[in-house]
Amino acid sequence: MLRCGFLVGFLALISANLVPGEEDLLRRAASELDRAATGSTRVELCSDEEFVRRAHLEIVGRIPTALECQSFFDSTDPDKRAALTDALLEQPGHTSRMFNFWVDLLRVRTKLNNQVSGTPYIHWLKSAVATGKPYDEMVRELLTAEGPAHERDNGATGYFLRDRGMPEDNMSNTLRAFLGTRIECAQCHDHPFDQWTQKQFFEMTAFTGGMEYRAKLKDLPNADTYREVSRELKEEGGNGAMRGMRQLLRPTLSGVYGSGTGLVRLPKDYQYDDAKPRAWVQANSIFGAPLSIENEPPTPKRRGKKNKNRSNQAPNAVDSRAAFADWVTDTENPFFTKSIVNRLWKRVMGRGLIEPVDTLDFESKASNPQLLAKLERLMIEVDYDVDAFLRVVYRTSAWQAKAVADEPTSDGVAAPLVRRMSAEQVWDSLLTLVVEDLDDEIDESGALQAEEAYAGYEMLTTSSKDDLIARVSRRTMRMMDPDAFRESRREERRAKTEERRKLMKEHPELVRALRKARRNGDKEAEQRALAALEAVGVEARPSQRQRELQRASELKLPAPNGHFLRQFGQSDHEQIDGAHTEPSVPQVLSLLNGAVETALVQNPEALLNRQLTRAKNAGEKIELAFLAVLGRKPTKSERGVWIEDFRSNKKRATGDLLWTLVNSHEFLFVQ
Amino acid sequence: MNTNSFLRADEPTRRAFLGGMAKGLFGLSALPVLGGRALAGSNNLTPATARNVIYLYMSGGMSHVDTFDLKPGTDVQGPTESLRTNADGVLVSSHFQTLAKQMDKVCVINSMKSTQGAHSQGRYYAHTGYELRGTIQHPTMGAWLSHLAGGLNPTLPNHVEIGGGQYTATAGFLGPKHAPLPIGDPAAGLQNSKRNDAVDAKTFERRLARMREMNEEFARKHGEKGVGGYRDMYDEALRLMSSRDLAAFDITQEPQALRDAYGDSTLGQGALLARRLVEHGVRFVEVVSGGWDTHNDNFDELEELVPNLDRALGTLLADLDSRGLLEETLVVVTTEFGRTPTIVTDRMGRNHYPKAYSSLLAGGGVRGGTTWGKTDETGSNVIENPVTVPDFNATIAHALGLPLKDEIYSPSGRPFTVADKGVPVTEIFA
Repeated sequence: MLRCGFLVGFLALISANLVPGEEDLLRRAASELDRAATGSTRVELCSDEEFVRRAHLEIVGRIPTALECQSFFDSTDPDKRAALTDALLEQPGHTSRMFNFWVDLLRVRTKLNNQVSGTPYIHWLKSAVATGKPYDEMVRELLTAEGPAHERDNGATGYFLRDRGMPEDNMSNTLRAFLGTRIECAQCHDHPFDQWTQKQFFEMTAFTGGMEYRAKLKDLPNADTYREVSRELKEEGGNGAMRGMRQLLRPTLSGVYGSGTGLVRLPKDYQYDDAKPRAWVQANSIFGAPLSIENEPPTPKRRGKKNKNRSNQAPNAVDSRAAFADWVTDTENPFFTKSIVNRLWKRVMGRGLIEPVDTLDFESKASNPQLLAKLERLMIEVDYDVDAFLRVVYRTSAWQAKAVADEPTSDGVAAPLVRRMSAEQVWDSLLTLVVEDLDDEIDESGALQAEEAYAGYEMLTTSSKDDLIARVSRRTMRMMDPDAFRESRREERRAKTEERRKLMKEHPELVRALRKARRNGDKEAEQRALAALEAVGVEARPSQRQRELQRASELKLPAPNGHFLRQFGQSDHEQIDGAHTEPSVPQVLSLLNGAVETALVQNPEALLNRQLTRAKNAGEKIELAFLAVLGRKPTKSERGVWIEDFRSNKKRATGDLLWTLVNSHEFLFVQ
Repeated sequence: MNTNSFLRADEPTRRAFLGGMAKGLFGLSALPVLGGRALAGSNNLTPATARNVIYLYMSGGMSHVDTFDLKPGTDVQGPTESLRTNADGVLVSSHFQTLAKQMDKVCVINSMKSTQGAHSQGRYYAHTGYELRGTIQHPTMGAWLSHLAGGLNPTLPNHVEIGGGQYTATAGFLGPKHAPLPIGDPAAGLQNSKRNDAVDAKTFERRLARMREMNEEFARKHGEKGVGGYRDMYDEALRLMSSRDLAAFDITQEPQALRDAYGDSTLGQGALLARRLVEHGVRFVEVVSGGWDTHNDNFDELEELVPNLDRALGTLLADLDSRGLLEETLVVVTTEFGRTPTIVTDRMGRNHYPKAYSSLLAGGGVRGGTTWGKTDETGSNVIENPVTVPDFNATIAHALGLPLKDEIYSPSGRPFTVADKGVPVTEIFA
């Protein structure tokens, strides 16, 4: 495992807890980075107040609570900054934050395509982040995923399904996302300025050649049952029923099939002299370590009736995807490590060492090549454990420096940029002021969301014949007679609600207990009451509000149009890195008259409002509000101004204060 | 390269052009058509015939043989009946009672062809003129207009989309600045544009004053550049809140009789809102009407869908005309594809049909009371003057005077043109 370099052996130890001398190793690694980042310049570190807010937003994606701020300020531990960042890395909020980073890169959607849910993909990704799966392993699993998309824990198939039917685009996206390099121009023509030819583009695409996105009915575990079902349906239900069956099975059959043939055909309008249109090309790496896949293209047979459908002659799969995945994730690949450390540095500091982050090539110059090289070495030495990498970065003076509003000065000293929060940070931060225990369910929620897809798959691959026929007729009805279907659904729901009401009537004391707990905002009592109700058969149902007021990582991806998150620039997940932090009028209107008013200022149930009610006097209220919203205490003059307001009208002043703090630039920006 | 660098000219340049030079260049005193950037930089300009676009999008695929390409007396027609219009020889479905009296303002294109047979791909193609790709996002026509020509009213967005739901158009690589402002419910107007009910004017002012004090402190620390234009955006939002232009979003100010005439549908009320916006200087307004994917019970469904379009479009054309706005406003009706002329009998439906379908253009310099292109006797094949999706979008761009041949570079350095080299149908203009 040991590699030569300045960190020899040190960092292999990092991920283990409580290693003697560990802090020392981490600090030495950090100062190695600092030597390149800041040189001999004396760095002015940010204040504790700036730090606590920066650390929370960076690592757990939300502002700190007043309590979290206070306990950080109160700590006398000389290493309290490192202690805080280490602790935050262990929190579920960090899973949420990293998840947001990856979904932006991978363009993950809750609905992958028609009737195929992306929740297994989301679950896979969330647990990969939560369990600290090393980055290279993650990429390898995405690039080699195979099998049914909705089979339990096979969500990595979502990567190829996201670009289903577009293998060329998928290859462009793979190279852009993981190698930070763009060859998509060569998808349609030889690039006039770039080095890649169209033929080379297809040589790359050939690595993922021969993939299919839908299994055949006969490949299902209970294929025999399906044969019987389809025989019966054909007799009784005609074409409609068969269509119903195909629709029903679409998510079950969806997946990624074929380990890669290493072969692909040139497009029919191929225009260059080095090959004929529709000619087979072989997989070949076009930069980095040479890698070729040897495989026989099918020889065209003589034209005859039997061979009418020539596309049926597919080459054999030869695991070319696995070879490709190894090539991509190899530490020797010129861009793999460079790309991820550059992206992470950008996230942490506000700008990459090479910008834009997806234009790496052999000529690209880093603003600080020495630092980039050291970051690459660090990533390799921690074996692509992103959290271990960040643990070192968070210890650098570069990251802890006072933020700067502009690009670095001519001496090139690194410091974080003052920048607007990401859409997810704004949303999650507002919720921090409104909802208690915001982070409780992040780790598990992925599995919960995917459960429906898994259950659907399991049901359809194990059901009996009669069961399947019943399901098919239901689906057929939905398709052929949507009105009747809707009516029957309504009827079912009505019956369910009726049953629920009846049960609740039988246990009035439990219902009263729940209401009381909710009124008092007593979470524990609420949980107890819900459990008691569940025990008598009343399922817990989160309120509409509860479903909406969740972390961005727990909501539909992307959030619907016009949603607060989208207003603030959440990516629509159509393009890699599609998010933005540009101001807009609808955004500002939301802050002035919308969400801030309804969710926070005028909401007596909001966490911060409940805490403010409990605060003893105006001074305490003002301090609490400043800590909760801005992560700092009010200045003397600020306190004076607001005390005055509280004196004249307490209720009015509370609303004014919250509104003002959330609408200030200081709230919206990370410094 | 020259053109390109000018297209990226900074805002003051654009504003300056908007104010000063635009009118003079073409001698179009009645139509201060283009904004600056494209104007001065391009050699590929033709005079514009329209200043604004109201783009009505029939989402799901509008059946051509049941709306504007009737085939009376054939098997494909089914129960749909034809109606004569005030344009010679132009037939429409009998559900177009209002529109039939306005067809003298409309050019019906019956020879549309798309290459895309699935909804999201078709919708993307129709809006951008480019096929859907996974590696780049192309701008919609409204975004091109905003980018190349800018707006007319600095308080209002250049580009609005009404009722777009989940499928709102984006500006693609041109960036969020040119994306449409989405409006869900046309009757509700612009979200959050009024002071919250619980907040009186005095309170609002008091809070703003406090906010500004804090922001000044923050700017002292980090400089104005650090806050990335947020101060200006607050000013802009506040200006909008108190501006008379905000009324542009408020259709409740219209007489009830007119609101009724437009029809009580998102499309109808959205069309009315579109007219108000265009009047106030918004240049591109899209109104989306859903539900046209009539695989089942095509004819029953159309009994509701077509009258909604009828009232919306018929009233819009008359309304624009009576206000003198029709001349400068191009009204577009389009969809992702047509529907199979053959009726699927067991469910009385029609499936997707990109091979031949219909779209409309009216106003904005288009010669009314005309048709362009033809399909065969069953509406299955285009037999005269085919118009591809890029051609159709190029025609819209042509009306707006946008430079069709100029290459615009995406941030990743890829060259693109408005409407992907489509050829405008210049013959339909007066």
